[in-house]
Amino acid sequence: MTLDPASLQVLIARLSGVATEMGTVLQRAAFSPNIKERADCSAAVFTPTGELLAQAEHIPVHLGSMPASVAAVVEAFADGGHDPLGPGEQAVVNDPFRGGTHLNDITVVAPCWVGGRLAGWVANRAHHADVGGAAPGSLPADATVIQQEGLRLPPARLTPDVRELILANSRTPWERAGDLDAQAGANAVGVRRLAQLADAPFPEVLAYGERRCRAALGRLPAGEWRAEDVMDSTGPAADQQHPALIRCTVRTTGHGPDDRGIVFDFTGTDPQRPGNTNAVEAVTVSAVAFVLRSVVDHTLPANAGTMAPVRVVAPGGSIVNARFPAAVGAGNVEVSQRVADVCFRALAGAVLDRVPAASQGTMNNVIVGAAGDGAAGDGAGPGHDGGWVYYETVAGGQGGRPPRPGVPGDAPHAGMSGVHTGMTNTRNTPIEALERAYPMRVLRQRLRRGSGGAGWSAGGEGIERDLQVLVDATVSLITERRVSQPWGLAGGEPGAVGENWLLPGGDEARAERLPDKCTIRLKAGDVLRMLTPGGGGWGEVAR
Amino acid sequence: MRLGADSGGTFTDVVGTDGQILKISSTPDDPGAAVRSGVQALAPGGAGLLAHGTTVATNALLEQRVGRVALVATAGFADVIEIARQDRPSLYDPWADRPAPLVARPDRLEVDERLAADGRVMVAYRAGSVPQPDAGVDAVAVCLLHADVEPTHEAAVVADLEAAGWDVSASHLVSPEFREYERMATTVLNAALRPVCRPYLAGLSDTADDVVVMTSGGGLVDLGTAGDLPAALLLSGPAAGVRAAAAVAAACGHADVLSFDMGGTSTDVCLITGGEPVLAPQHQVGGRPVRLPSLDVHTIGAGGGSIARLDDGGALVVGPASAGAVPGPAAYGRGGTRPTVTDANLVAGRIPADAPFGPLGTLDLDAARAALDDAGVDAAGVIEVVNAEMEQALRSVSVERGVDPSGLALVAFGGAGPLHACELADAVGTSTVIVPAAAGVLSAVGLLISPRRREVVRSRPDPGDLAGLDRALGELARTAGALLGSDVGPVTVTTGVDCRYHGQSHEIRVPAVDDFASEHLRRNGYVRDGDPVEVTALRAVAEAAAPATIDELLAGWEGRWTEPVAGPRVVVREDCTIWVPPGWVGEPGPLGALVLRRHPGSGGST
Repeated sequence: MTLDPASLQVLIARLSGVATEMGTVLQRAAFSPNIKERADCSAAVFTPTGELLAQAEHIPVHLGSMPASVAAVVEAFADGGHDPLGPGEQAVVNDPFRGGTHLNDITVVAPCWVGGRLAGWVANRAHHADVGGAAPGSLPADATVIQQEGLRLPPARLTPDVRELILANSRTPWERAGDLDAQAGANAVGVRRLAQLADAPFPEVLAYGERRCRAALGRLPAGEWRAEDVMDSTGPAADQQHPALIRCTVRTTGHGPDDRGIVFDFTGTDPQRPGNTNAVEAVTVSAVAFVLRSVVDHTLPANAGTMAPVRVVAPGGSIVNARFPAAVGAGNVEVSQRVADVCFRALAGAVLDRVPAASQGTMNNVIVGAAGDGAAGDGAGPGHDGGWVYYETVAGGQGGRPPRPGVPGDAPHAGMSGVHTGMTNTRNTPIEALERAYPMRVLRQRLRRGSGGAGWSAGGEGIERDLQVLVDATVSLITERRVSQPWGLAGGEPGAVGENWLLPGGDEARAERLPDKCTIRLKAGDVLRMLTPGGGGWGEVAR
Repeated sequence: MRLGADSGGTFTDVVGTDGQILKISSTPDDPGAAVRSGVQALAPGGAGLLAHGTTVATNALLEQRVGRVALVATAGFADVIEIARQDRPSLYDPWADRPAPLVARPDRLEVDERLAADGRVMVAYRAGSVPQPDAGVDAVAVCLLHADVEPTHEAAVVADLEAAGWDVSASHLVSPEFREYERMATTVLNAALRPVCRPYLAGLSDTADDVVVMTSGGGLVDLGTAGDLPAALLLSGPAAGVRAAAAVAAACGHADVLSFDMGGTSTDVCLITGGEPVLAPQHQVGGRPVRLPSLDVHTIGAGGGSIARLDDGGALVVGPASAGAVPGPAAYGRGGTRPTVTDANLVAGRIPADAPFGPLGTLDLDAARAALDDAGVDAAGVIEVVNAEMEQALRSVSVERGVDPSGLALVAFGGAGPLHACELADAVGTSTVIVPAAAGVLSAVGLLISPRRREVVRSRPDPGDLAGLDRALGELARTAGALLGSDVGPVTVTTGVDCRYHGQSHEIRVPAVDDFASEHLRRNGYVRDGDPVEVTALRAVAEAAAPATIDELLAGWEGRWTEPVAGPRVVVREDCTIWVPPGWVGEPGPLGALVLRRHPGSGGST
């Protein structure tokens, strides 16, 4: 080690400062509510070989998956066929099979050149509301292959031509333009700031992350633990409406503080199936990284060193490591949640008192929209053809929590109600903002009383939400935990499953149950009712 | 005689326009007692005016000593107060809770009524149909959907409740802007604070002929207004400090500055541009949103009392744990054994070991040294690390607003601010640091130089409709002016509009629609020529003259120090200690300020 403890911490603070500053610029300059209001974005800094140095993420699903994007760009431009990216140039990628997660997440990557030497990379990722494909929002619930989900961008130089290509494929090009420009601007700031740190000993930061992780892993007992759980379905069709299994074996490796490691082995998980409920490996790695932080040490730094003691074995061609041409839209948003659940459950075998019961285990994705008619009928100016896309994820119940570690005689910690858990943390669209911007109305938004599992710490409650469309529209629902319940732990009861309903014309008498995943046409006046799952309870109910 | 009195957690500071200064211990059980005795001491014959900065609202909220509140909401939406914006406070800590809602479930009441987004009535409110809160409730908050564009329903519900004798806070009066959760949370908070703040403020009414109170927005209001809107008092003290910092900087010829107020447990930073502190449309207190205009004060949880340690990866980290005031840093000799930033400053020789340190007397150098040694950390390292954190905070505050921090001067105050300011200036590339005179009572000074101020806001039901803006702004300006009253001297009213491009979810406040494109370009780096611009809200701010001027208050400090200083050097003043690092020189400036500049040619980093 060449850095003293203070200089090491100063370098870490500066590197995370670069990531934070990029994130600030991205959010400040972005056009769309997805980045501005929902904060579905992240920014990160990398070594010249693409190892993560620092990250500012707003949602956990970006935690472990950003490095894959940079690795793909490094491969394509540094080692691959393309001309290297020069100073000022940037690359764009969203191909889930080459560094992406799902097509909506567009990652922009820039090299940092200092005096002819590559000093590192910066990257940021943002969820784009629409990148083409079969349904508004680019998350068609009935997709079976990736071509139905929109425009796929392998690592490509972000030229004006490529920018135009992306805009031309979106139903909301004016938003894409503002967001892409903000992403490029954020990287430009990151490059300038990283250049000031070009001579810093980056390996020290990685070594530090590794030490922190091994120290945290040392608090786990040695052993091996298994768990399994299911995705309720892989799509709306009859032959998709049966469960898919995710299985995980967690085992510790090594003996001392210097070589302690951990393996998350998903061998035995079901093969990928037609449908979009498939995660690429980067998403699975993100879920593992999320669980590890939540259970062993929530202050672990976000860098490649932290993940060095962690091995993820995800069988190729399974729903946790999908291969082309699988559709993957729900991999990021739904499979990621279940992978996290399975990992939590396995670790409960090791440290029951550090693992909460299952939270709602879904993001309850709702995508509503209509294509424009090209007539610029809404008077919204150039490029605005009346098309609109609204994307929301709906919160639910958090699992009940054990006593806080190190607090003897602690009171119960019931799960929070109506809160995002697991791999997402996006804010909702205020009802008044929604009703003033879209032809829709929210008729009810309340907590779903009694939906949390009983326990020493009860599970949190889900949400009841009625959404009415005021014009004809297409809706895609991608939800989970409509059959399997969020499990309780240590004797706690499971949480209630979620429910999706269609009330034609708002008529309760004609209410019909909808499947967990579907893309349907709605008529003006139809009401979509969603009841989101409650969290499981932790511990036996006190008598 | 006019007085400014700032209540803090430890001390209550009182300054007079005659130059008197008094620092007395606060009386936490009855904060008004210290204010009264301070006023009595400086103006035994009675004061003409008292400008007050108070922590009463903040402490009540943080210590959960607030009233029991019932909420009345549109049917189907009362749980919005708990669902909030559905995000959780920590991504990775499963035990991190959102602040508990200030309305218990049985106190969440609903009325049958509904407005459409444009204010049209879809379900009419039936007069008298509002449910009555439980008898044990102290105050009621009413927040109906879309009441910001059409308050008729809400006003009818409020009238019914008031007729039954309830103390009611109405959302269309407290925070008449869209986004229902923020409006609801602010209204509930206001209702919860009234039972605590009204009696406190009423108890001060006879301390002077005219008693005014500082708001988070950096303006003074009368006691009645403050009691009706206590949610506007949560940043009362910090706002006053920023006002004074801006005024001293302006006197020194700097209009674009960062105020840097580093205390024992936290640090407040605020951007000042063109001589005016930047305003924020909302802020947070204890994790709760308060959507009322405030100075854009960012608080960092690090200060002189932050504890340093080595973590299990071998890095030296400072905070978030703090030794607070009790036991305090090891050097205080009150039983603290863990090393803090103050201990590091003492051991590094940046606080002289032999000089008195405020009311504590001399510090215990040996105890500080032992604490650092026991923890395995060195003094210079602790200072480097805490500076690195402060540097990021200064950058964030500037970058968020699209401002390059290297063009700004730093105004340093608070017990620890002047110890760290020059190094921070080096780190962010700033070349000037200003340490005001009276740095220990600067908030009390700020109270007397702040304008009387009222702001009103109106939502626009159809943001795309720009017709009739001028007339509406004119009406709003008259409303704002009338709120100030007739006996406050000349009144200045400015108006503004919240603008965005169609399709955006965030607004920028500008003086007029025509200013929007250039401001969007400055802040966000691009414009959208030809895209329609929307106006979501209109604003009007009325201001009347401040009780005193900065010259009046600080002129007595002019010429008290005349010698230039060159670093490395510790400058000890009666209420603060200034560290002048190598390469920096300080010269006496206007109003007794010390103006520090980096010596030409001695680089500073980056």
